[in-house]
Amino acid sequence: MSYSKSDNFSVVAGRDGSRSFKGDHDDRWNNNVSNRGSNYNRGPPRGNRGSRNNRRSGYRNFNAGSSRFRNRLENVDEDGDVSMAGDSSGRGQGSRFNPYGNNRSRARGNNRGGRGGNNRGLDPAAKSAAATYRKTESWFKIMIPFGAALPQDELFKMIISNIDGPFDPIKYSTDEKRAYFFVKGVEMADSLRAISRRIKKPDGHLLIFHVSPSQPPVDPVVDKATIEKLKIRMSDRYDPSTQVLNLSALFSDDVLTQENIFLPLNRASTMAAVTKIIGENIPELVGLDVSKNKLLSLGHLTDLVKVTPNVQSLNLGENQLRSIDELDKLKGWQNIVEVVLKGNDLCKNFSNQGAYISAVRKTFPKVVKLDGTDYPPPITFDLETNLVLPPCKESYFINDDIKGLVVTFIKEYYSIYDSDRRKELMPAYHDNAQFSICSVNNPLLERQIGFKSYYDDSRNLKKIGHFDAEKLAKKIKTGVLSVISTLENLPKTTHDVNSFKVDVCTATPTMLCFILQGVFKEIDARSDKPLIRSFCRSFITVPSGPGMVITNDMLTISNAGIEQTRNAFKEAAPTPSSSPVSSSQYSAGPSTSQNAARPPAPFLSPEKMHMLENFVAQSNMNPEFSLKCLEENNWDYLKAGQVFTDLNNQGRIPPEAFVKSEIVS
Amino acid sequence: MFEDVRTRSVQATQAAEEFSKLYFETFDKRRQAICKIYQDKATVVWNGNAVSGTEEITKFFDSLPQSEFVTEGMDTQPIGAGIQNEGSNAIMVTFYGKVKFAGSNFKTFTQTFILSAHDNKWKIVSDNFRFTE
Repeated sequence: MSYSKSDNFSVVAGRDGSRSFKGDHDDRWNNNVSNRGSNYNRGPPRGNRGSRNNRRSGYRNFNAGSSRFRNRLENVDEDGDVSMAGDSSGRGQGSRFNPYGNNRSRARGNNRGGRGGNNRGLDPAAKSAAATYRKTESWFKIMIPFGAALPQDELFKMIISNIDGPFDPIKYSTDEKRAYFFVKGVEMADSLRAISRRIKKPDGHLLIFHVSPSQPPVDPVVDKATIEKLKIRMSDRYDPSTQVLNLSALFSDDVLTQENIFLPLNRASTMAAVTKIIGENIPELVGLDVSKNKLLSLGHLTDLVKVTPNVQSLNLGENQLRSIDELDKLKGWQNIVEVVLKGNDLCKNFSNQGAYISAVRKTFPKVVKLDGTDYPPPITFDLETNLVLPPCKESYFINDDIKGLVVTFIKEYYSIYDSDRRKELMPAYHDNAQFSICSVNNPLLERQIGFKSYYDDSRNLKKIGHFDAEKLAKKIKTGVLSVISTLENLPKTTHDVNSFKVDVCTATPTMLCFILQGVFKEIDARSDKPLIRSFCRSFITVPSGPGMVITNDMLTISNAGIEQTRNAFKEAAPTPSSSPVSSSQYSAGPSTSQNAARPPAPFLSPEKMHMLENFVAQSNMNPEFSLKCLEENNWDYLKAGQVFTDLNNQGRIPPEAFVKSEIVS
Repeated sequence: MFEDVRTRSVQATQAAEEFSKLYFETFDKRRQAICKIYQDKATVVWNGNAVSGTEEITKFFDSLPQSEFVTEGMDTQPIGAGIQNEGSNAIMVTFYGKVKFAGSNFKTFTQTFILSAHDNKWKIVSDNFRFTE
């Protein structure tokens, strides 16, 4: 931003600011730290977007003159921080009853969007990185009163012919009277502000732009490299001994800031990345600290609740939560016994401790510690029985004879099913056997992998609605030939035998019914990345000669859940304590998956075993990494070798890939 | 031969549809009545826990927390169609969906029932439930 422009701007801000508070709210937000030099004259330091009262006091501050502002900025230079406490007491708020908050946090509340007290202790490099980010990456919402009457193209033409810099509006919209759009970057916002009330509309009135900072209208995507770095930082911030993850003030994390990474936790995309990392690495999480993250709402945390059922201690302190009802969004965390909420505006809504704790217990009934104070457990009625789910048990076979029969059958069946020779399954079916498929989305996943390859044959009776029953009946494959030809056309698969759970529910001399559940990898011709599906297969068999044949075969296919995908194709006994992986393990390497330390799968075919041995010998990597590399390249030995050589030349293979553990031998 | 299978599939589809409406509603809201649709010697295998007989089944279901079922997938086949000629009429019904038991989050599940018709009433012969996790 040039000096001349900012001079020009200060005039406008002065004029505009005296009329409208909104007009210049945001320049401070964006510039008071980074562009101090050029912005002294910009306007008053009014960051309040809060209550009417606050706005008014901000207005008064403006009239009090800019000298005060200048003084404050000099303070910034001296001690590296803006003294917020002084600010708020100056407005006479300190005298209000405030049982749980403190002045500092309230001051931050008043400066939402500003740097607040969170700057403390940041080094200058980090500060300027964050400030640069704000300058170019921050979003502004533009509102044009009576703009709806103007056609969009005419409006934009008028703007373009009156401003110097670029003009890239997005998400143009209108309501009855107003027009809205968004722009990115301080400069564009400033140029619009500068022409507010300067241009005459065709109707003779002046065109007014109300500019206010906004959340990104389109959430920026967190890219892969950033996620990796975030993962490493989260790993450093996690204490496996207490199972507590500290995400306090993540946006000003010193390490991330040094790398120019700005990840505010109040942004949906950041929260989504964090949720994914937690879900994949530390779902056993017991304690979570998300204090000092400027959280206005807890809506982004709902997915996290789903993946971390064990959370008992939650620190939401010093955020910007205004209503206790926000907690309702976290209701799934039923084991919470300790909560910190102090330093949020919502605390002011409670006149006494009793009301405060009972409001919290409405969502988290088991809380006995709130803001560090112990409370006796509530007295309850005994009607509310504390029923718990019985533990999930392993496969159920009725007896060992049936177990032998069923296990052998399933093993043989899937060794053929996973091969290229599904035709050989013919003897496993009765002549008049039936087979049907039901493909269905996993209701707990946001993103679904489509079921295109199954769609033609799928008959999900829940989704087809009042379809003609005759037509539906035709979707059941009847007769062994029809069954086999359908099976042959289904996508190629590899089933994870270790994921199998079998329950035998009926066994009579004339009939056996067993249900198999598990996951498989689907090999899709168009993508080299295998998909993990979850399936359930219900078989009914009848005796035939020494063995048995299938009369009914029902397959339900869905997408594997987060946990299932994580555990897929691992050893039978998963590691009991998954700690989020040391930093080094995450650096590049042939893949980004975490199960680097697993031993070679015991169920490799002899060909694959042979391939693996050769790969270990040639690459000098340990079997775990070699296996991973081969698996990820679909056992294409040459391709795997090429990928390895490339990565190795780039120095992207972590040293531990070459460390041979005792598993080797 | 296959025509007979078709006719029975159509019947099965209708039965399954009614069953799905009835079963989960009853299980969630009037669980004390659910046993009426289990046969005397029915078997339930619930996450690997096996119980048989209506008395045991009632006891077992009483011990489960309040539930909230949402089914997303359903399919059915007639059993023994074109295989057994006796008059027995049985169907297999599978479900997939999500369920929340009080005190825990929604989880996905699969459930397979075998229903058999006696005196114009469908009864559950076996019920197999598992979380998919």
